[in-house]
Amino acid sequence: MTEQAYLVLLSLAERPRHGYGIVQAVLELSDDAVRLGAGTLYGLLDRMVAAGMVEPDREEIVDGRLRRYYCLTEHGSAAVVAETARLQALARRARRVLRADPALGSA
Amino acid sequence: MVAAPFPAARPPVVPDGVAPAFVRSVQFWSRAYPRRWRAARGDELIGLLADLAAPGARRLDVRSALDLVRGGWATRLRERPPLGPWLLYRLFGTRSLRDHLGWVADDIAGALFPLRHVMGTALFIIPINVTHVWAGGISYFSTWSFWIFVVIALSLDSQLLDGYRRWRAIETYLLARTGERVTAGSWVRVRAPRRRVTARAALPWAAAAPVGLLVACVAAAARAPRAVRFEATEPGAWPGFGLVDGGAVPRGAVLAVLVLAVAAGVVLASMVRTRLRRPGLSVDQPDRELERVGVRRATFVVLDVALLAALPIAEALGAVPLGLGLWLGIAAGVLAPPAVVAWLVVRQLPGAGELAFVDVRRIGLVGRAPRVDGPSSVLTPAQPSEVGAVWPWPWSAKGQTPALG
Repeated sequence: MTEQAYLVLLSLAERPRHGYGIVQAVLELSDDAVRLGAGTLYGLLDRMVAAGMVEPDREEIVDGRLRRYYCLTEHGSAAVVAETARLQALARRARRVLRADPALGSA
Repeated sequence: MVAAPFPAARPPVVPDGVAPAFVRSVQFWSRAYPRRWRAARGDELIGLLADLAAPGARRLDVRSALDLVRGGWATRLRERPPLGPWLLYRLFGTRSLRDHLGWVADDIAGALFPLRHVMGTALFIIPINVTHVWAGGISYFSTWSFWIFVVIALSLDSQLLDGYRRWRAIETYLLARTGERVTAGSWVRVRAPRRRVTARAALPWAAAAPVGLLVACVAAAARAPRAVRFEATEPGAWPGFGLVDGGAVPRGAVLAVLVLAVAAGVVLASMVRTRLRRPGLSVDQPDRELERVGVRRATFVVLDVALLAALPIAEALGAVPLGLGLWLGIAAGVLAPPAVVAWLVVRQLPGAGELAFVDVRRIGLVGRAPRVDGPSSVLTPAQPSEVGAVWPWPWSAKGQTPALG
């Protein structure tokens, strides 16, 4: 799973969001490092919908803008939990490696 | 089948406070996406890009535009059909893309479809062309006629044939046939009223056509400088004579023949008048929808008459000898009076607004009551509720059968 895909899934784990909501949440989650464009976002959403991880939830029109909300499916929730666990394990191993090196011990 | 099968895309929703120029810019760049994607997501995309853009933006910024183009082409690549079935579809017209109906529908709706459709067959030209060039001939691709053919293939379908080729393609590739399961993207054939042109709309055209031809033929008979003449051929040869150019015009005889034809037409016209004035002509037509003549039919009538009239006009100008035009004149002379009389009668007949042109033709020329029309059918995209059902025989009274298994 790419970092962008993980961040999109993570943004939907909290609550269903529309496209602009996902872009804002991803920006926040990545500490302003990942700014998704519309083409990238819909590419990710299309693939996640096809994989059964995300599904359209509801639609509303705000200020003349059509907003379609997306939510995680059970499969999507399981995938984001599994990816988080994998990243946690990776971070733990990374810390162990860094502690073994006295020059980087403070990391 | 009266209009192009795929309606033009509806105008997009312009979000509040967003310049229409910005929406047009988004639409332009989002053409990288397949048509079906734009239909499903277009408004949502405009909303998102309006949220992301700077206030008052009049066009999409370069980064977003490039992102759309990249995303659009990635979507096209991701959703393309597999090569083998695609080649079978394109080259041999098989229904091998049954699992990619969305892609096929987009293919048929595309502006270049008529060209792509003939190109599949035209690809067979390549080996023939290569052989031809090896044998010392010039490449077909460097000839004007080839490119004229390409332009005709492109324009003929939508401009003149009313999207005929697209309708045929929908029938072949998208229509769920009897006994097939309806899938997302399938089209189905449903019962529809039979469309007929009203008598009041059609009769002025039906009267003007033979009158116009008759005038052209009379002019040819009066002005033609020469006529065809019979000439005996060698003894023993069949049929013993030939037609050659350059005979003197027997003007009196020719005009007399035309007058006789018109006289026969007048007799027919009085019969038509009596028949049309009989009471009780209207028949209940539950499966019929009356319509106007329409631009396409009118164009065809004008073109047909112009093509036919070219012959007597050419005869009158002396470009060809008077001959065949006389037969055309006889036919026009016999038909013109009843057509004019039918028009005049139907215009004033109470209740004739319900009559179709075919009814008047039958009453006038055959003398029988109008036929009751059976239903017709139209092709239409399947409703979501029909997806999954096995399609029954067209317009079965039972509706669609439930999916088996």
